[in-house]
Amino acid sequence: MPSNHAAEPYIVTRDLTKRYGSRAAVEGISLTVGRGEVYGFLGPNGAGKTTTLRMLLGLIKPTSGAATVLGAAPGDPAGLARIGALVESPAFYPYLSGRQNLRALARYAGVGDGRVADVLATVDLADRADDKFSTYSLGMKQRLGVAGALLKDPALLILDEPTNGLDPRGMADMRDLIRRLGQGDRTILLSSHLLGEIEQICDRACVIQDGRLIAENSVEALRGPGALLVRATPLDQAERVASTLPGVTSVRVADGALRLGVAPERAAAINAALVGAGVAVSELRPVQESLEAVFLHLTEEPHAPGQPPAPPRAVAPQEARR
Amino acid sequence: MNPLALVAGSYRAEWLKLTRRPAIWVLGILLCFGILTIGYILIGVAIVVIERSATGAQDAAQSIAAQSLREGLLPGVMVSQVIPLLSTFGGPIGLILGALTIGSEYSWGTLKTILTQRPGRLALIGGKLLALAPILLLFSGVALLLGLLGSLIAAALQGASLTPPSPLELIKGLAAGWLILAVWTMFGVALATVLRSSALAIGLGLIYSLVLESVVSGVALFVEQANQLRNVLLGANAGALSSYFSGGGSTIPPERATLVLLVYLALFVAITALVIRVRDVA
Repeated sequence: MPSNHAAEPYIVTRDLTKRYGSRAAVEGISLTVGRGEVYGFLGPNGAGKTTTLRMLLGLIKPTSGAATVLGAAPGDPAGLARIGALVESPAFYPYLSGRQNLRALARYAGVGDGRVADVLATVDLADRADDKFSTYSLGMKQRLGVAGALLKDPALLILDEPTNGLDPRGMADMRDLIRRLGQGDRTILLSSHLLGEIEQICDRACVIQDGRLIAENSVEALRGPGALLVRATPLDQAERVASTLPGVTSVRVADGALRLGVAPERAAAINAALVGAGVAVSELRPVQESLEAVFLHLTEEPHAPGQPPAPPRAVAPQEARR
Repeated sequence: MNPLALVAGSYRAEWLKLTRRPAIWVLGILLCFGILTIGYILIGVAIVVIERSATGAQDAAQSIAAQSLREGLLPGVMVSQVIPLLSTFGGPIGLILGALTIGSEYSWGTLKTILTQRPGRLALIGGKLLALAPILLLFSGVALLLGLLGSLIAAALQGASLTPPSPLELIKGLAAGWLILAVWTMFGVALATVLRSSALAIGLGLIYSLVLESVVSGVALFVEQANQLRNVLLGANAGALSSYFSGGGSTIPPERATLVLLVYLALFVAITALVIRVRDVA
């Protein structure tokens, strides 16, 4: 589905800031998430992701700045009626069963008990629904948390680190579930420090570090233009030649190969130039930066405390991948 | 959805949670056990011990004491036997009940789960208090029923009159018992809300009720200013209201005690609502 966040914004924040004393947990976050998007909120642990989500849900009040979620102020029951959320670890009543916990939440939410069976089936928890929450594994607790978030059949789903603590099978299942939930008109805001998760699931993403937004774009755009990987002998000669070729913006040696910052369409010309210079080329293929490499590059850029980092790496909004 | 519907939904959810929580019923059973044990069984044992140990010149005095205790066990005065126990024994139980009700939401992290569902902070508190109210009424009613049962057994054993108190007396007792429990429970709710913890709230609340009030009451015997302070304390006013059923004996008139308890109730509700409304949920 094409991203239409500019036309129909579901989440809008302007200079959202939360300070605890002199420490800024979140500083000047401005972002827009549109209807139908699966938006990734990426950042290392302690970057301010959960604090931002808590502000969007009205759990904590911003020190300054403003936000609207589904056209309402954060925490407004009118807005919350269309929002499902799982913030940090799933928290339920240990003495109640999964089903009873969801019934209690359904009453708070003002939806009928009939939804409980539906969401239990959606998260594949129906067979353990009558067991006490305290006996659940972490994966089951996470799934119950997602079930609780789905009770209102929400237009906007906010999930904070939903795969935290899950084993690989559980993580894969949870990602499949999130992908399924993101189909159709539903908007998902997914917070994670797992790059693969964002890369696999999201249309657009932002990177947050030290409470500041340092990049925002489609996942493809964040990964940047393609590059060429070249294995050649002798490598030092190949590096010298490549650095002089037109269109090559960077030359880097990694794992015994050259990584050239150049449009992949230039592969034939690069090959010809290297061979013409007496370099034996054994491998030449296009590669793309992983989101992990981009993330490490972005989050390792030093910026002095109290000083803003480089402006967010923003590219004009693009069509989403879906 | 209008605010009343949000409160109603919150009430239904809280009722489900409270009525299925074992700790709530453990407290109720503890209260029943206390009423029967302290109010009837221990007094019955005391009567037997006094009568068996009566010798010589002490006979008359001990017979009077035993007779006084016997009369206190009869159905006609059972309200005056039960309500003071709801004040002294039920108060701390109410405090624990209130502290658990909101304190656990902080320790389990469920407050954020609830607030992201929909109801809004004030509707959440409204529903919680509405759900607590009938449970406290049940506690008060069961305490009176057990008192009636104990007193009927005591009267049957003595061959005394089985006539119960008047319905009006029972209703007054039920209302007074509810008010006493409600104030202590709201004290626990307010403490746990401010402290974001049930354990600390229970600890501090019990120190207040068992130590601080006793100290002030002790000093009040000798110092007039301390007596004035004692007259506005929660426990002292709960005790004054309960003493109404045994024909007075408190320096605080029951009407004034009732008013002070209602002010406490409103104050604790206001503190809870204000703190829940304005404070961040971490």
